[in-house]
Amino acid sequence: MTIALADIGYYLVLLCAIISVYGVISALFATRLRHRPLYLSAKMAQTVACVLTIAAAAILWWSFFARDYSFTYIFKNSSNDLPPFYTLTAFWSSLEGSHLLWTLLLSVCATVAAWTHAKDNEHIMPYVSASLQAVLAWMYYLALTHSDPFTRMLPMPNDGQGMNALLQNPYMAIHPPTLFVGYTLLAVPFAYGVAALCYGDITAGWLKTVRRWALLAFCFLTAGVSLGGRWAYVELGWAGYWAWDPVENSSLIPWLFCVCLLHSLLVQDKVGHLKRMSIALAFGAFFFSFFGTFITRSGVISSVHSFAQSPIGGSYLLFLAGLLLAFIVIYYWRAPSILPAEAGKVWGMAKESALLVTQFILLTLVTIVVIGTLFPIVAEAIIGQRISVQAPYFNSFAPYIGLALVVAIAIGNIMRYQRSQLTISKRMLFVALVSALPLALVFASYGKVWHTPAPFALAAQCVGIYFCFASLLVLSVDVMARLSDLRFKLKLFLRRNCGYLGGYVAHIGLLIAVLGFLGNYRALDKSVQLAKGEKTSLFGYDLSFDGAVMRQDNNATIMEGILQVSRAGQQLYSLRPGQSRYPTSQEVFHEIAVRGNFWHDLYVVMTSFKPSDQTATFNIHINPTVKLVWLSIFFMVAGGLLALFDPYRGKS
Amino acid sequence: MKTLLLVVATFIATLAFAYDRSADIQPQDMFLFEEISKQLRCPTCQGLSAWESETKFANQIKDIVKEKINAGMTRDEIMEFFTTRYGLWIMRVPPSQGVIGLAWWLPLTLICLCLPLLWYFFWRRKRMLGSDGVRSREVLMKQMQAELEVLRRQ
Repeated sequence: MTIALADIGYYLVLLCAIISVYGVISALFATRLRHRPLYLSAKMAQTVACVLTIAAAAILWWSFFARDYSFTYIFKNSSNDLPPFYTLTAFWSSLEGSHLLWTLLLSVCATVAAWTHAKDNEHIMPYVSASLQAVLAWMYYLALTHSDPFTRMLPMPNDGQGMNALLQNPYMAIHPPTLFVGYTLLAVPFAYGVAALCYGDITAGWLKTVRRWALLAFCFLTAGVSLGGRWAYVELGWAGYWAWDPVENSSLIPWLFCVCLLHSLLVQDKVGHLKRMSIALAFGAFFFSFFGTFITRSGVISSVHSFAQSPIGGSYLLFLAGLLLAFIVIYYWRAPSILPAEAGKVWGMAKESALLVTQFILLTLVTIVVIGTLFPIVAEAIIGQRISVQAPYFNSFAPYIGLALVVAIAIGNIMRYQRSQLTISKRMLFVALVSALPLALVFASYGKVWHTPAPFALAAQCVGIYFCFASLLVLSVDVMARLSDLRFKLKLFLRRNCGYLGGYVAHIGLLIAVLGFLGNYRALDKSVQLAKGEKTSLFGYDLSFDGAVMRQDNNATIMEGILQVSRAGQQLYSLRPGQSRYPTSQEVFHEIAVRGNFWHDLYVVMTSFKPSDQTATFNIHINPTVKLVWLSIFFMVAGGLLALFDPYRGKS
Repeated sequence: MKTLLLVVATFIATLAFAYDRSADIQPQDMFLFEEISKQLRCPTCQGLSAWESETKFANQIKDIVKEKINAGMTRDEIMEFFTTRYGLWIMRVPPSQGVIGLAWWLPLTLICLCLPLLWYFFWRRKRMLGSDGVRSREVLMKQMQAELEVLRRQ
């Protein structure tokens, strides 16, 4: 009798679960008995579990490529015609596989954290190891029970049901793993937070390690969240990148917590305050990364009643409740022993206060997003009233939060720690604030802001653009001031201020993003039915319909409408929006055509095509400054990386 | 060849779900139509309005909106028609009255409450401690007396 690969995979995960439970127990005993070899055995257990998880994942990947449809998961999520790249990514195209991927990444992360800790963190490592392995043990348990990718179906079918066509997009291929890496990286600050609480103190090494992991998590989360937005933009066809839907919100909340944590760590580093705040924030980030998965995976979003139908929801809820309770107990019991480093340092009108206000603004947004996301669920559960909380709700708060952040960035950056006087020359600041005006005017006129019909939208854009430029210039003045403090010794400045420069670049990224978001106020759209040879125009563009062609792209059959785009009589390019069909699905998917310049995108969706009389219906959108949003991602990630590789801070 | 033709035929058959937003409505009512259908949700999608969505259900809703506008109903009447027919759920945002209004008031109240808390927990210390970072004389005296008290008792 041969043993099926699926069984091997299942038993590998089972073994991992047992090993992790052993790891938790031995690490806990190691802390109790102060027994180093026992801790080392816990560490080895973690490493072995990591290797076994990699092996289990490799089995699933191998079977995907071997088209082994005796795995129910592979049968449901791939088919014979799937191209190799998407066969690779089909691994995480559904619940079970993405759970295994998350488990795999968390396991790798935990193992790296266990082997690369700083020397002065050695005393808290057993706690770190115990908390990470406890989370992992639960993940393995879930992979065995409710989310098992290794279940089999016999007899083996000849072809699978196919991968969800919406996910057959390069952005969707890398978006989930990027986000998962971000989530798993957040587990390390959480574990260090719990360890610091259990141990009862925070050391300098703690801060350095947590800062690094949080920065790396920030980079991955930023990339992950925005790749999701990019996917929605080029694939879903409603011409936007952010709809504030629960899935998006649940990826934004950990990001906000992570940003908040980075600011709190800064205060902790420079002034010695906010230690307990950092721990709470690290927990919040980690908790909400799982919480997001819970609300998106349990079916609770569509209705409270569908929650009962999915078995995974109950397990998640139990885990989250347990996690929250455990943290609250440990925090309540141990937090009073964690004290500010130097009690003499007070809160004045200084940078640390500005950082605290920044955290307050960020947590305000968190509160709004959490309430908005959970309110329909709670309302339905308690008073039985089904309601919707969608984009307009969040959009009525977001502009004010955005403005507050833009202003806080400028004010916070010119302040200094423990000093209430302004160190930058007031004249320079005045110059910055004044010269922001012409810059904003140039931007507004090139971006054709005056064409916005609604008065509120126009006012919001004018205010937003001016404040963004003012903030940008004030930040730059601050860089100049710091440079002049070092008598323009660029090399010394770069060596000493990598972390600061990282912050500068990331903040510029946020300001660019806000400038990009403001473009939404003046977006235009038009729905038009065109027969072959007919023309339409929008925002100065003339689009003429040249008929449609059919073509084959890998496994998709695409019907493309050809639109010739010209402006002021000059032929520019041709757009080919289309509709595609996959052999394994009855649905029709939009293939979106996007072209444009720096200032706006011309975004065309072909919503229907009648071959009998060669007419098609197009939704044509003008989306201003979307490119700035994509550009800002690079800035933010680059800023995070720059701060991460700060040579000055690496040395203790 | 036959299978290819079959694929093409079924492909074309499924393409016929056209929706023309500007059909069956007067140009002067277009703005009202857009405003209303942007406030109603697409029942079968996540996070999209009826205006943005092209699904069957969303198109039906848009048709009803057009019909009601053409029948001379006002914005509020149309909204009321939808909420009595489908429940509050069909609106993209909850109303600000009643228990449901908590969705709006809860975050605002929390923010307003947190500001004094923030002050209480952080900047309050400035008064307890002197401005130059040294504990003020009164606080120091109090602490020393408390410690003396402890010593006396021993």
